[in-house]
Amino acid sequence: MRKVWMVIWVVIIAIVWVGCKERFDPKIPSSQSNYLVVEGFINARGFTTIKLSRTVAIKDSSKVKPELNAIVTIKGEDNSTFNVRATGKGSYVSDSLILKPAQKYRLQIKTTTGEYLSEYVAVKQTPLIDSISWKYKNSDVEISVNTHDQQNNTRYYKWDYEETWEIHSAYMTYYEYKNGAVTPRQSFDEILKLFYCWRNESSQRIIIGSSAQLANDVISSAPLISIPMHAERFSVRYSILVRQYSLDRKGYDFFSMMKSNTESLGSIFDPLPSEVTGNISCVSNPNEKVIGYIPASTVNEKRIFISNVPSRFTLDCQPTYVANNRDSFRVYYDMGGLLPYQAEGTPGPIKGYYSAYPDCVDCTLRGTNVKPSFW
Amino acid sequence: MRLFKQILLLCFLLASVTNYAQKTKSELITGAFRSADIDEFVKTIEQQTNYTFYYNRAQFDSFAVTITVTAMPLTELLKTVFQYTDFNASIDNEHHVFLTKGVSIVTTLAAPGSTNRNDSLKNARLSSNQNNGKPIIGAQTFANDKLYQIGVKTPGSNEGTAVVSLYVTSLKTQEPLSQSSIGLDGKDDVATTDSNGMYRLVLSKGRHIVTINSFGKKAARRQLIVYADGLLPVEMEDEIRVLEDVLVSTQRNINVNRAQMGSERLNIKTIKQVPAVFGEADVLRVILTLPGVKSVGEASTGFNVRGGGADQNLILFNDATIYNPSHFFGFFSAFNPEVIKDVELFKSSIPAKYGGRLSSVLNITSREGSKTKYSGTAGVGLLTSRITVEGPIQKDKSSFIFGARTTYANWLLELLPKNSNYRNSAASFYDFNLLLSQKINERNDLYFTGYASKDQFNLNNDTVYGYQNRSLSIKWKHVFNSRLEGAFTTGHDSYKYQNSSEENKINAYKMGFDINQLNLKTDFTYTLDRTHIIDFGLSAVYYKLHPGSFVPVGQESLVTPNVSSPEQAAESAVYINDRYDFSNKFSVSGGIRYSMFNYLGAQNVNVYAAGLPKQESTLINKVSYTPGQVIKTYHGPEVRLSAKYSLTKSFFVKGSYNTLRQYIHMLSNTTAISPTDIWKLSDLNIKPQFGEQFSIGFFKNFGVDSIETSVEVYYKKIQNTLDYRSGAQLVLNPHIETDVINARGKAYGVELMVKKRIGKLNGWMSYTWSRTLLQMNDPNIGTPVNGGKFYPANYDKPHDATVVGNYAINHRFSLSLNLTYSTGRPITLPIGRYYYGGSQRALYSDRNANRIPDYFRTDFSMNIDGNHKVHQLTHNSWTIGVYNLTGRKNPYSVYFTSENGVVNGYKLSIFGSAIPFINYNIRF
Repeated sequence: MRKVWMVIWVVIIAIVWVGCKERFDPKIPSSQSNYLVVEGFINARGFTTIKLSRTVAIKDSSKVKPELNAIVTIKGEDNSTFNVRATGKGSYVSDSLILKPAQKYRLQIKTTTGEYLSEYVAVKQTPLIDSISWKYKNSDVEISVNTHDQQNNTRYYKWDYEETWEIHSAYMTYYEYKNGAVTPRQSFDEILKLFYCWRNESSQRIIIGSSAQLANDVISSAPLISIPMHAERFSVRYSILVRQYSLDRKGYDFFSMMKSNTESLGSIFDPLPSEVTGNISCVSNPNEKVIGYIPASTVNEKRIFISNVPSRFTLDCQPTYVANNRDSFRVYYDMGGLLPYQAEGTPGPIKGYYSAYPDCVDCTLRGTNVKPSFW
Repeated sequence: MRLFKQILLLCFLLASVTNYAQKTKSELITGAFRSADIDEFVKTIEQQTNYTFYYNRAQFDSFAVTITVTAMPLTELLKTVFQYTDFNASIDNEHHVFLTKGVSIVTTLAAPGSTNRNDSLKNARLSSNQNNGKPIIGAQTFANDKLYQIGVKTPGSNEGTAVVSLYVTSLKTQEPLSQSSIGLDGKDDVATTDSNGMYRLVLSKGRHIVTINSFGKKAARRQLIVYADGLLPVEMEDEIRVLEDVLVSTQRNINVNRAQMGSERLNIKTIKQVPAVFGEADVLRVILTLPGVKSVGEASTGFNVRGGGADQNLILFNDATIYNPSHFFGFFSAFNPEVIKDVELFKSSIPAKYGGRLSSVLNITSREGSKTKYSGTAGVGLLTSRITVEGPIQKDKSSFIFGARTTYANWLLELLPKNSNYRNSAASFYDFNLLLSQKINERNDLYFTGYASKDQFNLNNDTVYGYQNRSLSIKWKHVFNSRLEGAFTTGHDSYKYQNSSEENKINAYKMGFDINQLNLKTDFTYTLDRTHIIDFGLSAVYYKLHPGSFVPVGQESLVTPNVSSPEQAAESAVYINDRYDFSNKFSVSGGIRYSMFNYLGAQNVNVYAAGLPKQESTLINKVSYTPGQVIKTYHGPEVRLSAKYSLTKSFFVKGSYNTLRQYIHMLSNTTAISPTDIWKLSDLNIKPQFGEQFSIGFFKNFGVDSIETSVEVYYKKIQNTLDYRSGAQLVLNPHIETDVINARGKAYGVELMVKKRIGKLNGWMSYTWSRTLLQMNDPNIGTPVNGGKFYPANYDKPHDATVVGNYAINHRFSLSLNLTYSTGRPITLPIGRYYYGGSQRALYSDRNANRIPDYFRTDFSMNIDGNHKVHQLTHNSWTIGVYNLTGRKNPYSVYFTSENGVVNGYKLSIFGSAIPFINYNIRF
């Protein structure tokens, strides 16, 4: 409901067409917030990954301030314990575990400054994803997920995803510029490795859904992501891996509040920002704020490929003709940053080279040329 | 007509001389009359004799007789009763008795020769049946010189005081003229008429000269000889041709003459002069320019009066409660400016007759249609069009006025860029007004008001939103006698919204909410004398509310129907208010309103463990109540006190103390009123809101009262106002009390105002300094906002200044300017950020600790009237102007959002540049 109001707000702005949104950096008094942020879930069948970090001042230059050297343990109500070991950068990973469905589990975190405990949560069994579907919505491709729980037990769902898509350079580059000279590339494989690449991206938004208001526990076309059809994602082939988790009611409320607090469009119809309280608290100081909610569930995933979207995406790469002499090289390659990719005049003496910016000829600058295992 | 009647009566008088002399067979009458009025007197005689009486009841309204007779002949009786009065009786041969009132005073008129007695008799019957008539042209000059006799000359009728009820109407249209200035015996501006054109003038008996001035009318003068209480209708002739639906009142001295304080009345002409966005005259926008009235921002219609919430304003349109006064996301108010007569806002001393909301009463009154001729207006603007038609149903007796307004904003949506998702959107609204008025006779008036407004919009063929107001009301005004008058009002108001989404067949739903109320109200005014007026009455409201329904649409939908059980309640009140002038300098108005609220079954009520926070875990019991069973009763007195003391003739001090109770609450966790807000009745778990306000004001007038200045200071306390838990679910929540938190508030401020009502240059300047603070002080809540300390309310804007000016260059061309400045509203800014779910996110803490940048806006408009020739088919007028002339990008909100993994701050302005507008109006 709130989301629709954001949409309405956008329309209002469009209607009065002179309304405007501009970047704004108010002077916020700097505060010393240093709260623990706990992200992750207790995986009932597999590896549990927990990420620990700290809140920072809004102007802080660091992207994340990881919490290192914590001792993280999964604890069962039956006094079972499982270690979650630090793997660096604030990440903590357990062994592949199989937890008892009838037990309740929680997370214990011991940092250098205090001990934190999440509330005991029951293990929820996540149903399988029925399908990942997509359709055109105006000029966007909307990808959504469908699932159901025959037992009507799940009701609250959370998803995240990994996108992978193939990208191509604008031109195959047969030449390389090195040490002031242009030479032909030696192997065809090297040429291909600069032309065919893949990009990855993870979800950045919180995606949750609920069937609480429906007679059956059915999620029908819950939108995950909307991509303009002429985006590069669809220029060759696109794939998305969707992971599905189940939540309890409290967890669902936590994530929906975090979402409305941090992903809103700022309309008057949005609820006011409010404090987010999860299910983790500091044992020694109950008033200390801890951000995070640790549910326990199994996880299911599904991957689809999309290759038939008629994307008109092209890289903006105008070729520049660079005459075959040192002065031109200096101007265009050394100073201008262009790279040669094809010669003019062959067979015969090379008069010059068609050249373009590195982004246009070297796809590794924008992605990886390691083909994913599932491709 | 009146003149004609006078002539006829004169004929009678002449005839009666001979009649009396005639020897009629007198029949004998026996009876005891004790303060009998004319009807009772005549009825008794008619029962005992075969005589039929003819008389004009209105002329005998002050007649009362106390006599005991045994077998007295009719002529004898009539002679005895009328001996010392100016009443006359004449009897003809066919056993008709004609009772007339002294007309001998008409000395300047030559008696028309009518020697035929049968003719005059015929005319007399005619005249006794026709009480209402339109004076023929030229009558006014005559009326100014004529001596009017009020009451009947009886022994002792020269001593003491009498109440003369002035009833000032337009000669041309018969519409009552409110705010007409009344002068007495050479003193100007003794009083002004009320909204019905009435004023009760208390005079010493004897001769007086009353002058009446009404804007655009020729000054009227009446010479009176007062013997007893009575009615003096005054019909005012047009001075120059003014366009008749523009009712302009002189309104002088209003500010100071009443003990009432903190109230503002604006007529439609003033409202139309203030430039508004898109050029559509907007009642609520103008209200926002008054001191002490604020809003959270540009696209919101909800307004806040002296620190009160948006739901604490009682908005009345001809006595009907309007729950959502806005159209089109708040860009337009839901009131058609063409049918409005005036608007009155009470923000401090709220009259005892109103209740049920804490902060203010906004009373919007519509015009009555013309009782003499058909006319209409039509207006074309950029986004809306409107039409008004009015005219008589039965000439001089009843009239109608009908107004309609609609929008055609869809073309704008079509202009949106192709790749935006909103090209398939649609937005529309309309509103209708119908007012019927019927003058039954001089003592009885009947009014019918119908109002409907509806908004509907869908965005990209997905969710359809709609909401509507509907109201019907019937009002009967009755003048019991010259001291007592009453109004009886009944009506039905409803507000509902409905949202639906059918795009996803599995999730297709319809969601709705509605509130209905049935009102019954009686209001009486009793005038003891000029210095002492008592108002009293009763009111009852029956609420029926459907708090929410969520139902499937279509065969495939899996939505479980979720319909909350309806809520019902009765709110009743009785009030009495006494206005008393101790002297010319000191007057007091004291009132008490006792209100009672009964929350009624059928209902299942949640009972929580005492002394513990209300949570699902502390829910200990559910109790069922049968239909009509009283679940919970709240009641208590509300005090309305105000006093005025004149230090000098033009310098006054006023003070007031008010308490109010509110039993119905709007649930909204957004900053402004949004179409998904719902209303909730007080129940077992949700207490009524209680507010009290002290205020004191100083008023000084300069010139001939042409410049009014005022300083008002107030302090207000609010208890049990509702705030919400973080992430509260307000719609379809079966235990809403677990998500709401009682908060208390305090508000205080100073309001300064300089106002020039009349003259070529008119307008006002106001400055307000005020604070509004809220606190969650309920010990039963775990983590109160700001740790239980006071925090500023969303609409807390300490500094607020407004200039509204209008300069009339000539009769046809005027310029208007509007300047507004205020402190930015409080917002909650992040204190830090964190990384979660693949993105940086903002971290919030204390609520409303920061502010958005200050607000400043300039609007300008030109009003151009066509020529003022009387005899032309249509009159045209143009309004051309610019909203936000300086193009300042006033921030509406500042917010932080996570985009592509990082937190970005944005400032959102609704109007980022100057907006020109043009409006064309035609009157036919």
